[in-house]
Amino acid sequence: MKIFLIYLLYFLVSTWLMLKVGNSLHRNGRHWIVDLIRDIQLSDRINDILLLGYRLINLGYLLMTLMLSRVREESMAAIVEFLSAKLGLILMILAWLHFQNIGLLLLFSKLKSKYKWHL
Amino acid sequence: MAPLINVVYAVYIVFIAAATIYVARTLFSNSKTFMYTIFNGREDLALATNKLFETGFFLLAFGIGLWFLETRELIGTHRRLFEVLSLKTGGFTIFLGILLFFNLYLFFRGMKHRRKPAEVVVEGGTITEQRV
Repeated sequence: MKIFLIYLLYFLVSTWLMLKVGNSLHRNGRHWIVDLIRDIQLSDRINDILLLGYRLINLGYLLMTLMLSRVREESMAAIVEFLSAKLGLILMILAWLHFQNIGLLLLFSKLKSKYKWHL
Repeated sequence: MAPLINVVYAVYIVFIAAATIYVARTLFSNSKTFMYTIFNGREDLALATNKLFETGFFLLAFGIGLWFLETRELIGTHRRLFEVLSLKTGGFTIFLGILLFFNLYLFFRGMKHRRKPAEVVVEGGTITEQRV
């Protein structure tokens, strides 16, 4: 029963974090997409689809690792270790995806300004 | 009495949260100046980019901090408690410092490749507007 509560806590906290980060990126990345595509309606649609893809990938990852992981023992320290290692890994994956996205945006804007390339 | 490992974890988590928030607030309130210069008057893009950098900073710092929380060692004495705690918090502080200088490097790189005068986007097309 206690293990179940720990998994529930992990799932709720990481889902909340994932959604919060996603919304922040959705709001702030919009300016970049508008700058790149020059069509507000189209870039809003693209932005929404990107957000959906982000949520799907992350929810899938969260559920998969929830199934694959084990808490070693039921002491307070073991629970904290479990939660922090898993949350830390998720945050690092989010950071990696985030920097990859920034890199792609920079690549696109460079292509556009250098070679008159259009999306 | 609670095991000493609980004390290590509690102090460490509070420390990483406080340090990350303090450093991020200092760095990203000052980086707005850089962003305004880089994006040459386009306030929306400057603020959005600042926020994106801030999000990345928080993700990396909390991710690494939480990832390295686990201590395998059995901590028996108070002396060992302080040693382990100082090693962990010190390591995290050095990591934050490296991250800070890396961000500064990116800002200065951005200053080198400054934007040309602004272009304004309107619905359904583009209008190019020259600003000084």
